[in-house]
Amino acid sequence: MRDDTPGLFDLGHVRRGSGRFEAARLTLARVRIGASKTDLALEVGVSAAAIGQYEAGVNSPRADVLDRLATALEVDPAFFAVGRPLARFDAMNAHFRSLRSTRVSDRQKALATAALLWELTFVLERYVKLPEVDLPAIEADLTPSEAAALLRRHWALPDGPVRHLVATAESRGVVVAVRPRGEIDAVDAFSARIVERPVIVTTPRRSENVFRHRFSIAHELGHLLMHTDSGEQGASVEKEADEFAAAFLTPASAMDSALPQRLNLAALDRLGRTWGVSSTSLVRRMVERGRTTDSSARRAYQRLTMLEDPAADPTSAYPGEVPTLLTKAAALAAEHGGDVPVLAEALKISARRVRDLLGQADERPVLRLINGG
Amino acid sequence: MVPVSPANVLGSHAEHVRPLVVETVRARHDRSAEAHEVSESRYATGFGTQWRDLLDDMETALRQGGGYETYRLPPAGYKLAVVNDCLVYVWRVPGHVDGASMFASSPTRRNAFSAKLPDPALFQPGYTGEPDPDLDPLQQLEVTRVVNEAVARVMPLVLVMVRSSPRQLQSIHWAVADLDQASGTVQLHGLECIWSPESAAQDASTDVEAFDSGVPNGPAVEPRRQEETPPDA
Repeated sequence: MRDDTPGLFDLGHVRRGSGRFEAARLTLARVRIGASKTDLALEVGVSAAAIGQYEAGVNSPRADVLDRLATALEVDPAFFAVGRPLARFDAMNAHFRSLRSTRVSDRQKALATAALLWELTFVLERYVKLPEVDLPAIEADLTPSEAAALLRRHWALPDGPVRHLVATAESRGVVVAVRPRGEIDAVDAFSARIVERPVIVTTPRRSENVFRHRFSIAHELGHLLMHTDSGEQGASVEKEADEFAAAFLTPASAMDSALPQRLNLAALDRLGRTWGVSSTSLVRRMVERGRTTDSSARRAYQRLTMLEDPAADPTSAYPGEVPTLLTKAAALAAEHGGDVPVLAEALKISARRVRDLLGQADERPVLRLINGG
Repeated sequence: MVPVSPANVLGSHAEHVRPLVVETVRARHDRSAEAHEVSESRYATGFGTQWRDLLDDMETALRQGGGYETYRLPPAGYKLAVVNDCLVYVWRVPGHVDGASMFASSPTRRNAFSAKLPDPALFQPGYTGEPDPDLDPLQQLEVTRVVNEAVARVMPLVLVMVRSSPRQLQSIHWAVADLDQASGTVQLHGLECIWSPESAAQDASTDVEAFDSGVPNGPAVEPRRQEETPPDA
């Protein structure tokens, strides 16, 4: 054991600017706000090459540059110190819903967000006990349907609809976060296991409608179970996660008796409202179960698109589908000496950013200096 | 007096026939509704032509699914199933018609009220009119009496009434119908709704708790005691 390195929970012992410089922390802070090296260099008053060297670990910034970097990136200088809990976001095996439309920088930004979310849970665990992670180990040769059935058994879910999916997942130690519009929209939704803690991050585009939200969460659970170790990416992996989600939310055996004999959108709507899935996913299920043809399904999709009301069935109206783990943990931590400023100090980021990670609106008044006043 | 209703006249067959009727009507409705949608027709005329297929579908379903005999209704020759000595007629009630008043407006449909029991062979497979060597003369007389009575008897008419539009199957009712020959009006006895969108929704959710039912059990968090070591420390 290294004596010169503080323990993971000795965060407060890293004095302002006193720790050695950890290059990956700079990258994390930079990509988190979506800044390019050139942007940051201009802001800090150094060359883009210098930023590159800092991030490559070739050079360490001088103390004054470190302060300017911290200011520009809205973190404490100690954020860059060695020995802090460091989830190497650049080495995470994450799976992204939007494969084609996502740029590398968008993915990095999303992963940096996930890394900070994990750090937040890590710090919260100084004050509160979070649910143990309870995901079964999956044999590599299991099909998505078999994996879905295994998870249902492992979580002792009764036959029928999966009730309150997000609350259920959080109770099994999965951290779920919906990041605000505009932050990581391009990635849609993704998941990663960070130091054994499963984290699912979604965006309003996926989560505004409760049925799409539930399917997304189930899809990411599929990735966490089946693909975390392989790190495999691509359309086939996404298809497997879709199959997992369909089998998890609407098991074939139950659907065989519940689905109508013929395509009937009114009946599918009623069924979807019981099982917590969209009519579109039930039409797809009907094709899979041989109840209808591809051409009939295509017409049904067109009709559903015409009928779709984007404002209908918001996730916020379903308490069991709204993430609560982080906010509950933060509230309890605050009662036991770990309020937001304390968390911010431990994380070496601003209190505003902690509230942002917790999904809390910053309602404090904005104060401005008035020149000549 | 036992009230006249489809359940009475169909007897023990009612339980078997009822789901067959519902399934057949729904399947034909779904096909017709889809055809209407595909055609992008502005009018429901095409949708309305399902009535003849509906009759054939019902006869086929009852014959294949229950082994029931077929009766040809003159003069048009519609094929109808005979269940427990009752004629089963499925009729899509035209949108503008109030109740079953219009049912007897066609000569063929009117004949449904006077259909006699089919050939006695229906009741006793192998019956040829010749004395059965296994029966004693007294029994043989009784059989002849029953058959003659049956031949003379008019079959009750179980009328299945379907209300639908291209947008939705609205309801399926059934009743025993008879005709007042003098006034020409149709009376319904034991009218019962055997399917509606509401009942279907209820069936679909029977014994199934919806995904949002009950109060969610959120994740349990508890304060960490001082002496406890956090994970990874």
